[in-house]
Amino acid sequence: MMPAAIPIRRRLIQMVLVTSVIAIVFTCALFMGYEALTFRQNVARQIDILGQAIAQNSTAALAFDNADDAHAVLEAFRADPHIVAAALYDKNGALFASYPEGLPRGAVPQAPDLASHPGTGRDRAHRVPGARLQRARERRRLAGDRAAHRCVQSHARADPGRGTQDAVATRTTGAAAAHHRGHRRPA
Amino acid sequence: MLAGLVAAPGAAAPVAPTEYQVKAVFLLNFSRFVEWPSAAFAGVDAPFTICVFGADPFGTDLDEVVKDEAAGARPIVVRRLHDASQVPGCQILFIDHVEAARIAEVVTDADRHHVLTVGDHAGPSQQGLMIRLVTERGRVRLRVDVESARAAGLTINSNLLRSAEIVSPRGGRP
Repeated sequence: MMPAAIPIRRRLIQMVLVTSVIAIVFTCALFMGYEALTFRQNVARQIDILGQAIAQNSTAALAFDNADDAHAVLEAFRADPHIVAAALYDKNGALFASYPEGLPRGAVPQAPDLASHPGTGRDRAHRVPGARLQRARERRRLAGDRAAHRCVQSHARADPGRGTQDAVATRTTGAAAAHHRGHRRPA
Repeated sequence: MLAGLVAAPGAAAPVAPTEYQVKAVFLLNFSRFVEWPSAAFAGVDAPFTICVFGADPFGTDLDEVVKDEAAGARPIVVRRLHDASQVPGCQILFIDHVEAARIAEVVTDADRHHVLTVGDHAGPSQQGLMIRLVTERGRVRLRVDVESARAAGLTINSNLLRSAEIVSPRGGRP
């Protein structure tokens, strides 16, 4: 049996509707993808800037081996409630100071991923008075939390110069890592 | 924590630095966190000079630390002094605690020549020294007399000051 003929008017309406729905779905998908991308980029950029400022302010704490001062500098992260953890590492990658103080082991990486930074396109070096600041960044999803966490690392060298093979360490290198919760904490 | 920073070449485990290795590193780091006026140098090509007055507790540590280092475009060199008249030309002057009795004779000249005076003698008084390296609970801490440094035309970076205890010229808190 032949299907009943659909009136042209109805067919036209159906075509317009289907086309509109496809266009709306496509636009929404595009918009959400763009939002997700720019949100991640903005969060990473913000932490990057904050990490850079912290690293810059931590040069003396590392150069003069003052962990108390490093803790005080890291306390600046308190200004951003999204940041749940931060850490400073010495030139050997050993944890020097963390935020908040007394953070349990495993809350931040026990060593920064220094090896992955050199040579990456995003690496940059900054000259600051009396110190060289090398900055690199990395994103990492930490397991065990539904929310997306981001980890941004800023590397600060308090004492530019030779390589690291000296018998006596004449320079201190630090890395600041901040873990950012990608959504607002519940009030 | 500096102990963790010191590693012998080729060694697997870090080797704890001696007190004077740490102090040698601190002397070098002062060159990064203090600004000297141009009048502090004999010329544009003059090296940055770290001087040790009288008894030298560093041995070869200080020489090893500053080897191939530079303060800006100036290479860093170490000089040993035995007389206050040799102070001009130094940018950093370290006076060991055993020379505490001679601090007064050196400090006046040092101030006039924009020299950062550093010492590590015990006692509450700074005795005119701008920076004193004090060992507390096994760590070297800084006591900085900002007024004296400023009077000598030196500018100490605020990052350094945050890591230090700021004292008055008489050694107490300002």
